[in-house]
Amino acid sequence: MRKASYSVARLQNHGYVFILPTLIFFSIFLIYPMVSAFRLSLFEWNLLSPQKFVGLKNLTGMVRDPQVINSYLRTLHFSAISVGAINILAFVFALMFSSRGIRYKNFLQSLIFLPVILSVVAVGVVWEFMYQSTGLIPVLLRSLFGSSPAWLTNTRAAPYAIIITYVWKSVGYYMVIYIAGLMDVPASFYEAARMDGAGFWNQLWYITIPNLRNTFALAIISCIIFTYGQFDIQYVITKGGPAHSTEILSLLIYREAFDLSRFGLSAAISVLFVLTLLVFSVLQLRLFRSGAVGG
Amino acid sequence: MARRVLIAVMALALLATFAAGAAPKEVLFHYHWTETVYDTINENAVKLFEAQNPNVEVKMVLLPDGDRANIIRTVLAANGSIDSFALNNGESAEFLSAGQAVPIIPAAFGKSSIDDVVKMWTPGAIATCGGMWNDQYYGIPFELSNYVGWINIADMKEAGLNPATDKPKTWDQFVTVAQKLVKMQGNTRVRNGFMCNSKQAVFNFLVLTAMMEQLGQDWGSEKGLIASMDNTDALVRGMKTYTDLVTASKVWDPSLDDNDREGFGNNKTGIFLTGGTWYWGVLDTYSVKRKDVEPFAYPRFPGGKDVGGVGYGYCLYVSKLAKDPTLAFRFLDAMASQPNEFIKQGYHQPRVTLSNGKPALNATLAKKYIPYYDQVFGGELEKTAVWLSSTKQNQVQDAVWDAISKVIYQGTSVEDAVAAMQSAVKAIYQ
Repeated sequence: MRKASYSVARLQNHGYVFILPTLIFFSIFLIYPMVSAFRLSLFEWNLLSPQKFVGLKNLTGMVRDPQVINSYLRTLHFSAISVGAINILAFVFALMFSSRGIRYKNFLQSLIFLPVILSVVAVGVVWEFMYQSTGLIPVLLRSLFGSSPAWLTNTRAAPYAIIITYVWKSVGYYMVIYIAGLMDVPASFYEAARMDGAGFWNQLWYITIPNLRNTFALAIISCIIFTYGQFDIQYVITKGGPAHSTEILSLLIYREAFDLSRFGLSAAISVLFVLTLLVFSVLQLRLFRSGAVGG
Repeated sequence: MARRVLIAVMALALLATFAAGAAPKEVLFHYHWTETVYDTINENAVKLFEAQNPNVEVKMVLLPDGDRANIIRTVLAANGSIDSFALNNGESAEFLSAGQAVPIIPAAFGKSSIDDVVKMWTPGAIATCGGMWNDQYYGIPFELSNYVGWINIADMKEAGLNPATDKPKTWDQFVTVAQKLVKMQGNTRVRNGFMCNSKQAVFNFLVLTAMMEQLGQDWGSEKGLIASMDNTDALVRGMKTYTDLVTASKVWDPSLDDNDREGFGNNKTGIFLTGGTWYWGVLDTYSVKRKDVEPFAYPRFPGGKDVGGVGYGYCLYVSKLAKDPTLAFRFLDAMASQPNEFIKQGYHQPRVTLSNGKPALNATLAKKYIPYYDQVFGGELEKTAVWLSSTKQNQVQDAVWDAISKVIYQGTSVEDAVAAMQSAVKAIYQ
């Protein structure tokens, strides 16, 4: 008995040795930069002059900064609509492709998944051309409805132009997750339901959705996290314009640091950014730990 | 046999190692921007310098121009290997005020005083290119240029205008001509009369700077800019002239395209205002032909100051981290000694004499290789508007672009936008 417990302790110690390389890697490339960013948020620094300690000035100042507030709200707006649209569309596509009647299933699935593997910059440039007043989308809309919004220069339309592009680019990835989830639902559940006279909607409501609880949690929370950290599509298509209407937090962090040389303020906004992401990450962890999902 | 060959190769390798060890070369790291034509000329300058200085090896780090300043900033912050670098006049104030560059060392140019060094370039060139800070000289000019207007004369003829007589001389005429250059296909606009880059604050700021300086405001210095913020009438007039192009006369529809240089090259606009002599080469990469294009002097306000487009340029600097600043300046001198090669590509180096006293830029080459040099570029270069020299330059141009954006994208009145700009600029310098 004593010998066995001694071995377990030894084994546990060996476990630490095994995770050491990863721990070192994460400490250097993840934990240190995060701590360093928090430290930097307490300073004013343009990388050229000596750092000036300003305490919590950057952190407290940004709470009243209209640009930070605007970007935070823009990020929430972009994330909420994108996450909703992506997950609804992905789920609908997954349901479609799980049904037997659909033809050219593989081809259509590939078509929807294709944007996921395309370069974001290429996608951004092509969509930018399509949104310009002589581009495909306005020309099509004008011929169908007689008018089209100025997609990239109207402060109300531009955020939706970005959302459409982002949803188009991402939906295929989440569709695959939902298809995988649907394949896990035992066919016998549906057979039994059909024998009991349940139609499509009843099957969806009482079998599919409850059985996809884990999949929904995984897809929605990871979608929130990825969407919240989105940067490149906005950067390529609008650079945050017009009039900051598409300037999400990650873009503001970049602009404050590399356009305006305010690295301290940029780091402070990064802290806000990380704290918000942390909420969703903790939520995800708690959901899986509590057994509400994953059980 | 194979063994002997192997031994011989190893012996040679050992010898080479010892030889290299015996005479270590001094390595200079120079950070510059990349541009196909430029690169070849610069590489030749490096080769020439290395041939004249066999103990020196130059490692030139070529960077995309848009990222150059930030990469240099990062290398300096990390105490990296950097002996010299290039900055434009919009960027230099921040670096020079932070003591990141070494003042010019006259001895490196074989001169005994800074005045003798300064005289090697055209009067005022160092200041215009951003190489001066607090009355001290830091940078040597590498390129000096100025924005002029560019107009598509084929479009003018199509609109019934005479390119010889109808190019706009005032801002009112500018609007009239630009309106005629707008082209529609049914309900769709396929060509703007005028456009500027609507994704980057700096170009709009520079065009507005020229307008403000024509209206008697000094937007070239911090003091002047701050003082100008109290002159609401002039600010409103300048801002209104610029934003009316979108909101009133509608000669500029930003939704058609966002890049003016590209847009002009592909005939999506009849006029743009942010090109220098170098644009001839850029134009060759687009569909519009040189024969269909002419440069013209910036329009003026009647009764306003005779000021043209913004003058700008690049200087070369020796880093405070340079191992041997005198040697680094000698290298920069070699880099900036190719004006006659650059002018053939449309790039203007304002160098009068070389360090050995020989004449530098051959003025006849400018006329030969740059179309309309005499008629437009040369004359306007003496009347350039001054680009703001300030450590807060980027913040100011952002505040100005925010004000412009408010009017053209959000429908804010010019007066309200100017009021917002006044408080923003004052806050920046508080």
